[in-house]
Amino acid sequence: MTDYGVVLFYTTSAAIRSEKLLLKGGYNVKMIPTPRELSSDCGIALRFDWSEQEPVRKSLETASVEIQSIHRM
Amino acid sequence: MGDGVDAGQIATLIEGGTGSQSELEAQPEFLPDKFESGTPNLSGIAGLHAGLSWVMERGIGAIRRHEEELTQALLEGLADIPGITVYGPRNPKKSVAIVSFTAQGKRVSELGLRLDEEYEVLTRVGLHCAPTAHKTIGSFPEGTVRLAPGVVTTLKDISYTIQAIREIVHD
Repeated sequence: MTDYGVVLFYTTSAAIRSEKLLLKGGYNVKMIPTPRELSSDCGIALRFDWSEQEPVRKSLETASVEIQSIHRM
Repeated sequence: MGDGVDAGQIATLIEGGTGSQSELEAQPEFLPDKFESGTPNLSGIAGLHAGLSWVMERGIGAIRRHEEELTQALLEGLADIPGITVYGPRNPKKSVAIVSFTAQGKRVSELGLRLDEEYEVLTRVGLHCAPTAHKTIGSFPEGTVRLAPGVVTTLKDISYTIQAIREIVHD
């Protein structure tokens, strides 16, 4: 089973921005409903492969997308 | 706008770009220019027209009957699955074509994700930006999975969805 990470956001627009950005960067990401065990202001979250954690984090940082937190699933 | 209306009494929402009296800084006071600033959303208006024509062609009554039939099938199918709780009226005539449910022992986020990924059934999960509605039906704070069959949904889609929910719940 793949090891996933989840990015949580404050806003839907930040989530959509991140999805666009990371898809363009060739990362395996997918919009998912925010897992209920992780509380967030935003109903959607972005799932990514945990193995790509470093570059994903860096891409979001470089583009200065505001994220709430990153979790390992 | 009717002839009897005094345009001077109605304030503008947006100003500028009327194409008339370009030499002036002020918004023209005459009609229709006073209320026709900028370029209207023509593609949006054309799209709305096409959408409404499509609805009129099918008939609102026929669309409603179709949705009631789908909702009825959905309610009956879900009632057959052990561990499923359905919220809201059980009579499709008393609601729009939306069915909210939860499954015992499954998180709504997991249900929604699996329906999407494994079965390509798109739902909306959680509180639907309506915390008070969920407090009223007793599903706060976990929320529900919301299914909304529409005019292009078929009875076959409904039975496929029910089978998908059955499989996920039994996992």
